[in-house]
Amino acid sequence: MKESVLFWPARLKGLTLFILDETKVPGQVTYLKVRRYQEAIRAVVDMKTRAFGQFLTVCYTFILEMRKAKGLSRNAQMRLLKRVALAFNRSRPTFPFEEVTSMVLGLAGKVSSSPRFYEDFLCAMEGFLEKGIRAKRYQRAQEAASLIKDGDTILTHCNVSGELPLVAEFCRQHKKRVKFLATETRPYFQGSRLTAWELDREGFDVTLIPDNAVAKVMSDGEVDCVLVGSDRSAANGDFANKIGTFQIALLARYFKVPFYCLAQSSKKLASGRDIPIEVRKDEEILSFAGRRLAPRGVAAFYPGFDVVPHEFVTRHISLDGQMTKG
Amino acid sequence: MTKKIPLIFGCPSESFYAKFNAPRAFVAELRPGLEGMKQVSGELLKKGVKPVVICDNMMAFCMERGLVSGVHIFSAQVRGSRALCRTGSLIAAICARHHGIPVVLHKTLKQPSAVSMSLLKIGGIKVASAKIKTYVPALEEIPLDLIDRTVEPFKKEG
Repeated sequence: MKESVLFWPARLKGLTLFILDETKVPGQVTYLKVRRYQEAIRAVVDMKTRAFGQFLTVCYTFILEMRKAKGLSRNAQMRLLKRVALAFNRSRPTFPFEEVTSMVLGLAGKVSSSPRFYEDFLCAMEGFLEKGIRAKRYQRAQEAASLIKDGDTILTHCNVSGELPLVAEFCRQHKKRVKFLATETRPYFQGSRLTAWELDREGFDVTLIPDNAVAKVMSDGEVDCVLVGSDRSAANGDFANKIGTFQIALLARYFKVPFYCLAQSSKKLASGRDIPIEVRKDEEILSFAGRRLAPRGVAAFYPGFDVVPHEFVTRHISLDGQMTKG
Repeated sequence: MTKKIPLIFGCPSESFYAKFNAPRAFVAELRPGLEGMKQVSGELLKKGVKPVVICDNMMAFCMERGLVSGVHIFSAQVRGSRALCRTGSLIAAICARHHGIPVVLHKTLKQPSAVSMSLLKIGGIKVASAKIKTYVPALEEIPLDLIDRTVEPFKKEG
């Protein structure tokens, strides 16, 4: 099955990590060349990569740094992994970096007594990504497609890191015709630049709408279901996603439209109230590509994410293939 | 941000600005033309009100966090039980109702037309391929049962 470039937006070749610069898509499909973990952190902080791209960047950066540390003592290698983990944990607040880095350190801990620590760690990480995560994302897309009916129009927000074209492709294989409404997703336009672009590129029917038209299309009966991704989940099923997702969930409930979430379950935080929300610089709203849009003297407020309470979710479709009611 | 402030969604008329009395206000930016960010904010600044611009998708978040004291929307046309408002007003009204925040409908003498209907650019900069289909409804109907109070337009004498 053909994958969107956004489905696996980072790749490791030798001692260079290539990270898709998502801020340049669709104008250019270019990759940042990263050779040190500090450069990977910079790519995360500058939002060159996001969502699943952040997860891949963390995992591949560990592999990269380990490859560079070949020949060092096991203790030195473990110290290096811990240093990388700490740096990622401090990068951005909402995405669960600590959960990902703890998982990697746990994996390193499991093979730390092996005489082939270096080889076993790399082998475990590569297997985890290629056979584990990739396969699970395919499975999740297939589960999502099973919820969609022939003729449905699906409203989505932001970008689900290349998983939506996969959902659409599974629908196509089952002879289900589907259409998408993509919100433009201000202020970074992930809906315009990424979602609409990748769906159109793969030949699917997509229409871009402004974020403020969601109630209009729902009240006109033009939306059959909502399908969004998630950046972080809590144990009770609440989840955080790009700002605007909560608003859509609330409207879906008001207009009785099913709301589906592609999630990765986690038990680390009890509820969505515990998820820290990143507040970014107001210039990111008031300017675009270096051009000032607002009059001088105007302030802005830019929360990067919001939290959808579990009771607004019709179905969570998680990476382990489970579908749970909200 | 700790104190609750009003949220303005739409393009007010002169009488609104004349009576508006708050030190700060959230202003929805109003894609695609950004009239909220540009014109509404500019008018508020002239009146000594500090505008805090938010994207149109941030209204529910601000309400849920207890940052919004009331919502102001605008309409030049009320027919039966519905008011014709700038698209997005329905989101503001439904989210406000959910959070128990009062919604004030200000009747205006004329409906301002959107300055731009293109989603493909912002500030002249391209953000989406010209091949992408877009749908930009300018106006939508708000059921009056979502409105807590209606303010009639101020008419000049003579």
